[in-house]
Amino acid sequence: MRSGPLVDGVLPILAAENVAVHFPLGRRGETLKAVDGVSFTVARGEIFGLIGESGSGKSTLGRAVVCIQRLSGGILRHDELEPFRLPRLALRRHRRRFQMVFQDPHAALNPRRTIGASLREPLDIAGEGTPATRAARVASLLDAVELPVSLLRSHPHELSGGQKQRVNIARALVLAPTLLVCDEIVSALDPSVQAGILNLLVDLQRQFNLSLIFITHDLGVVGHISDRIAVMYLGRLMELGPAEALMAAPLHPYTAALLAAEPRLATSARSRRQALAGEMPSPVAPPSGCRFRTRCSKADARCAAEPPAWRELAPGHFVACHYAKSPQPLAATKEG
Amino acid sequence: MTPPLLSVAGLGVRLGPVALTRDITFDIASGERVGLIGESGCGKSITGLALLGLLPSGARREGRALFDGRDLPARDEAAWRRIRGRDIAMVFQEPMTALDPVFTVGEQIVETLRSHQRLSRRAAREQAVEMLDKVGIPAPMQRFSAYPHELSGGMRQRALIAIALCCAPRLLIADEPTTALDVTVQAQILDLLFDLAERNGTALLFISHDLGVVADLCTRILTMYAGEIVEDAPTEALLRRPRHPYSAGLMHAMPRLAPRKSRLAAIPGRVPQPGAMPQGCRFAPRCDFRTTACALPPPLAPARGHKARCARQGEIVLSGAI
Repeated sequence: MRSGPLVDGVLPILAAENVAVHFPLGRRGETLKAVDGVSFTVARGEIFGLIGESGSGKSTLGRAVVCIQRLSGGILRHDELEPFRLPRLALRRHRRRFQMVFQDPHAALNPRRTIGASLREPLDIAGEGTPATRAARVASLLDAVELPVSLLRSHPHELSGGQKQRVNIARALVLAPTLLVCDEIVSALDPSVQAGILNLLVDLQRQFNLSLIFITHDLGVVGHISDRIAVMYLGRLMELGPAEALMAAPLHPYTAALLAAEPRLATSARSRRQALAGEMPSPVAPPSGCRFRTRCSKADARCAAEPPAWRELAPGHFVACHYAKSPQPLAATKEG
Repeated sequence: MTPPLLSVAGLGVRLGPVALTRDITFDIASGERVGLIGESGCGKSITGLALLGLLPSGARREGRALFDGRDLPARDEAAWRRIRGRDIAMVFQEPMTALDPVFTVGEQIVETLRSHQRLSRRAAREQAVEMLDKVGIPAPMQRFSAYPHELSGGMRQRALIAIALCCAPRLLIADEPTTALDVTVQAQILDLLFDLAERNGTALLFISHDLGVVADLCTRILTMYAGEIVEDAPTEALLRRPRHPYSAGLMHAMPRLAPRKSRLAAIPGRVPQPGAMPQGCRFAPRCDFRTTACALPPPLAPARGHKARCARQGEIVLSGAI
């Protein structure tokens, strides 16, 4: 096994190279290319935001990087390791360090089990420690997610949505993972509850030096907590860059359209936004060339003919668009 | 001054002994776009349903609602059938469950048209195609014969809006119509609702948990908490200087307004359950500003302009979102 690429001289905790996940549909040999050639790295202790609309492939990519979804192509590395090359039992052991939290807090908990039993289950399966140390671990995690220990004997229906999502986060952390994938974990929650969960995630990330992949369709959320953001569309990355730069000066027309589509707290009279026309085409038959071209106002013949290259236009800021230009230095735009 | 199109006074919904909402009082002027925001369980959806005579069996309506000067009946299905769809129409959150899967989209518009107007099948069909075109559905002639499952989420929501607006209602109640949609499609639907309301002078009551969406579309916002309206204000006034600590709390919890990586101001505690409401101000147990004055239930005051249900308004200064 060769070792992965170094980023700034440090081995990233996660490296995806040209990763693909295809699902055969069984009719006329069609294939749904949910993820189709995606490359990125996640550094230790980084919060990596992954944004995209439904059908973009972001959840499938999230499942693939924690090895609960096999790859159809490409290479996935965790540190120096290629997990998909491990024998089955070794992969199962390895997977403990890479956990996922899902969107629907109600569906993710067994309604007939107490919170304590649900939290202890991963430790029981892993066979770690004695019953006493397991119980202590469960109690300390409940405390870490700011829930009272009295909830251990409760059942899921006795908890609010926000409390359930805290339990799910605690359960994902119980085996001390190094990377946590959070798939739309605040989308089903009310705004005031959502704020508490986001605060908690940032705290936990610091406390345990976790790497986080935060998957969402909500630019406001992802812009707030992420260090870097990747924008996904129809199975490919369109743009990847430092969160601040990407939000302030997006390089890809799709990112710009997503930002423009955000509701605004405007004071002046309402103006029409430049809403993106149409909807995402089917991932079974994606457009030729650039996948975004059917909805892009700048698209021309070249966009239909050749897929755009993945170019680094500013340090760490990548884009897949033939016509994206290097961003102006920030100081110059301020003067202008 | 012209009388309001809709005037709601002391409206409440009771389910057996439990009051789900109480003392809901507000007006909507002709052509006005009003937002109704609040978190799950605050009673915003049941308020919308009460204004359409669609309350679940066992629920009882209290108070009055006048539409164009006439009483909206509390219980009279025959009367409601004449009002619903023609004077007041509704768009729901999940277009797949709101549309009938065994009829084509066009048939569902024709059905609505012909139940309120004397129209031949042919004329109704022509109007239906025209309506599909108006809501921005491409190739409306072909889409007339499409079943709901053949349309995308955004197209289904457009079809639902076409059904709601085909009889030119004077008030459209939209309950979270964009929540299930992607942001780019949400933006299209908001633009569509705005254009249609402007062009036809349709008044809009837009129900949502998302303050951003409501602020974008509406000129006035009602904030609900635990079954009551706690603030009623023009959008800009609310965003600049909220007068109820709960409205301010909602704004401060929004990640898109806070500095990057800063701690968000979550509202502590939980929404009280119907049947176990606090005495006095219902928000007091979660409020940073509570005093002994909050032991009595505050009224929604003043009578006109920017109203709030807070005993300490005027005394405390809350920061807004802009």
